Amino acid sequence: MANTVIGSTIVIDGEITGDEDLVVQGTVKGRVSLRENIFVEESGVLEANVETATITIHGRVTGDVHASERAELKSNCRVVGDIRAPRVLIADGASFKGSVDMDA
Amino acid sequence: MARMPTASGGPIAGSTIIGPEIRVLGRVTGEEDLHVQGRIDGAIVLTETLFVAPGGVVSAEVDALNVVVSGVIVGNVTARDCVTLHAGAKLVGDITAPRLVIADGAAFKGNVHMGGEPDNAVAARSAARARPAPAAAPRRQLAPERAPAPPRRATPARAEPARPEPARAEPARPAPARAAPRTPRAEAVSHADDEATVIVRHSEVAAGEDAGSRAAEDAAPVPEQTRFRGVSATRVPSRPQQEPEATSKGKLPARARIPKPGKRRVNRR
Amino acid sequence: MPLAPARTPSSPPSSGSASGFGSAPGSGFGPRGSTSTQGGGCVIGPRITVRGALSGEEDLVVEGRIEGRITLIGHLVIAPGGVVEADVEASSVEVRGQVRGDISAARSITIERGAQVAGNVRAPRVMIHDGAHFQGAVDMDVALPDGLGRSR
Repeated sequence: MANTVIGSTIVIDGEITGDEDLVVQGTVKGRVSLRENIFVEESGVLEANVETATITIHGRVTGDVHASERAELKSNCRVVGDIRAPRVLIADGASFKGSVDMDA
Repeated sequence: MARMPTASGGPIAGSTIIGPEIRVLGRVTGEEDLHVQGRIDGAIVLTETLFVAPGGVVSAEVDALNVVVSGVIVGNVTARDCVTLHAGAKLVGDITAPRLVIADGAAFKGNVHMGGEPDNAVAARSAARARPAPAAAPRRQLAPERAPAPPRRATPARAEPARPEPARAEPARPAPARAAPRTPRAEAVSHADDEATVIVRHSEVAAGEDAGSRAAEDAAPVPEQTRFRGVSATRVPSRPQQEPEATSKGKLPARARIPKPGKRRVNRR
Repeated sequence: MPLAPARTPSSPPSSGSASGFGSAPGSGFGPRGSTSTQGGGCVIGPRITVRGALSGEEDLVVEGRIEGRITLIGHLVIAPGGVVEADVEASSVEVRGQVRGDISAARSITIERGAQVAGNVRAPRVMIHDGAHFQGAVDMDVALPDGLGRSR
């Protein structure tokens, strides 16, 4: 299990930076900047611009995502924003509105 | 320590962990326990318990049910139940909580507001009654009101922690009610509770404000004087804030007045 | 807490003594500087009131009342029921009764369960136990990590 967990009743309004995996079950608004992996679980809400190595989204993300390795949109996720990552996986049932840029 | 506060939130939510390599800048609110091993700068408002682990750093205004510190907090801390500083904890800021435990090996600098008057039996009782009031109030409401307050209160106290003298001179403005309340205080014990609390409040005012001018007014015997030295030492910090109450009433920190609204309410009934 | 049974003989002059109440009487009880409350030191009995400045170089237990000022080289215990309305300086202080006034100790201040303290306390080590009532400021040396310093 990852070290950092934002629980489902937690709301963070601001900025998260760091160097370890982040599991979002609650709400994060603002900006997230990590060098590791982000997991947005079903209850999780990210209203933020995100920079990370990888991101796996089961929940909702509103904002631009820049993943240096991989962005994965799982079924039932809802993503609004632009995605920039060398590998982008969008599962059947995922809801996505925005552009994908895999050049970076 | 007596009892370790734990989550009462139930299974809805686990607890939240801010890992050692994570830094959060901004406001964190929630209804579950929060464990900080990394760093949070900004503000924290929780209905449950904040744990600051060894190595964890919180530079924020904190409002929670309990606050258990083994790491570092810089900022004012308000807990509805208990603040516990374990060995190794460092806290710089004011603490407002009905219960406070400081273990050996903890370091703390700041003011403590536990509510209630430690003066005598009457005070102890009124304090006990005053405490439930803030706790019963809606948590969410309390938090924002309190947040902006602490720095103001903190400054005067810290500026002159051990010297009541100079500060005492300032508030030596006429307070008509001063001489009278002293006597009723003694009677308070035999009175009904409700009356007693009112009287305690009056005498507080008298004690704090008049220490300076009393000297000139009534040639009180030595012991009377010295008694006030102790009182004013604690009262002085809050005095300057209380005076302008009329002008900036709405903004006055709820936390600063926790015991008093309770008493006033009693008074009205 | 353990109280010296021989408190009556060591009681200091009662209420009247206004000031200049020098070194505490009843000396020669135990080695000075002993931090234990048993086995020595002076006891202000429960029916004694001291008004004025009290200074001394041995342990002191206050079961009665002191108004004024206490300057002690030794361990000061304010027993349950004891009332101190004074600024206090001592090597170490243990409060189980009531104190109104500032306390400063060279070593440590302990505020026990049931104690009531209104005043500012200053010592390298300050302990407050659950069930104690404290109102005032605490001043200990807090060495904060870099970048956290506040001009407090």
